[in-house]
This record gives sequence, C-alpha cells and structure tokens, in this order.
Amino acid sequence: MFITRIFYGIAYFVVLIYEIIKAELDVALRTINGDVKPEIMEIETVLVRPISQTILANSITLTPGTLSIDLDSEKRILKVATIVKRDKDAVIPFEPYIKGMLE
Amino acid sequence: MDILLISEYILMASLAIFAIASIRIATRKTIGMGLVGVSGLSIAVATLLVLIQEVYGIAFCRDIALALVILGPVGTIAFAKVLRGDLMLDALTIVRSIFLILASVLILLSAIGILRFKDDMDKVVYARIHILGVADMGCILALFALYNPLLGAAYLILSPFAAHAIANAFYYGEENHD
Repeated sequence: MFITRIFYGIAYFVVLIYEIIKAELDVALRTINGDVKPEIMEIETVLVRPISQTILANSITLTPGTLSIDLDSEKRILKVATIVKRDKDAVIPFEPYIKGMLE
Repeated sequence: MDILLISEYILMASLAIFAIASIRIATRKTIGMGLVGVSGLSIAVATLLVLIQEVYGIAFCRDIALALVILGPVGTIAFAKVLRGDLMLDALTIVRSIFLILASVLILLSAIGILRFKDDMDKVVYARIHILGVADMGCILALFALYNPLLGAAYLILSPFAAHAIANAFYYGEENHD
C-alpha cells in the first residue's frame, strides 16, 4: 500500500532523529569520562533491495557512535564499528521502518 | 605534606564557599543579581578546575577551564546588553541562541575528545571518527539555526559517505588482519 509506505517514511525520520539525539548525548558523555573501546561486529540484515541496504548503512553512519565499514549486498551482511560493545538490536533500531518504507 | 599542597586545599575550600555564595546571589529575583552571581560562579569554577588538574592530574580540566574563562564574560556581556535594552529578545531569538550554544558545547566536547585518546589505543581511528560525528551534528544544528537549511541538509546527507569512506579505506588499507 502506498499510504502505509508514507507513514513508515515519516516514522523512520522521527525514529532516526530520536536515535541521533540519544547517541549524540551518549558519545558526548563518553568523551568526558573516557569510556571508549572500539569494536567491529558483523550484522545480518533482513533487507533485500540494495537501495534499502544503502539507506540502512547511511543511517548507521549518521548516528554517532556507530559506523558502517562494509556492505555485502548478496550475503546481506554489514560490517559495523561501534564505540563500545553493543548488541545487534541497539545498532539498527530503524530497520523495520526501512523495511516497511521500501520493501 | 608540603606547604604548597596545603595552600591549594585552602584555596579549593574558599572557592567552593564562594561558588555557593554566588549561587545564592544568583537566585535573587532581579536579572542584575543573576548576572553578578553567574559571573562569580564561572570564574570560581574555572579556577577550581585548574586546581583539580594541578592536584589530581586530570589533563582535560584545563581545556574546560579555558572555555569557561572565555565564554563566561562573553555571555555576561551579551545578557548585560539585553538588560540595557539594546537587543531585541523574542522567542525565536532565544530558541536560536539555545541551539547555537548547544552546538558550541558539542563542538568543544568533540575537540577535547579527539585529542584525549592516546595513539597506541586499539582501533583509535574508529573512536576518532565516532567523535567527529558529534562535531558534525553540532555543525549541522548550527547551520539550521543560522537559517541555512540547504547547507545543513546537504551535509546531513553527505557526511556519512565521508565517514564510511575513511573507515572502509582504513579497514582494508592499513589495519592488519590475521
């Protein structure tokens, strides 16, 4: 449905801005107390289309504290560098919204 | 204990008492009293931070003290101008000023953070890119507050590509994999 896609798009932007503000405060706090230990992890995504994978990787990099290094489009695996060790769901909270928006 | 350390502790105690007195003055009802209290508080905290760096050896306290020493009088001058009636003060101006000050705090924090980690730390490049992201967001916020939304939006879209390019190049070019 076209209408639900627009709804998911708006929700995606709201969630993205909320996550950016949250991560921004988190990283700013970490620069003060020095609790920084960079890690590289691999994340498997459910997205299939290359455009949605690119948008997901871009949103990950836009959030301070997480950074996408590489994207394997066929195996659907993202290499992500995080500022401390995090679990998978904390890195990509906007994945269902992109899935609803583009797939 | 030597005499220098004792005198430093005495100075610290007197500065703490002065800071509390300034806070009490700042809570009086008129704006002039608030300005007096806040300017006293800022110089007291700045001196206190330098003392803390001297006694406990925390390196980045001096950077924050520098920022306080510079920003405190500037802010006091701006608010004194407002009090005189030279500047217009409506809601939009206040919101924009809050955004600009928030952006400058973020930029200062990232300037401290980008310098404080040692070069021999594990994967320090990624940590520095993460901290650069904070400065990016601060600059985007400042661009929006300065009525340049096109520049802000362009950088919002483009900055992840640059960060990703640095990380990708470092991962495949310089970092040694086993």
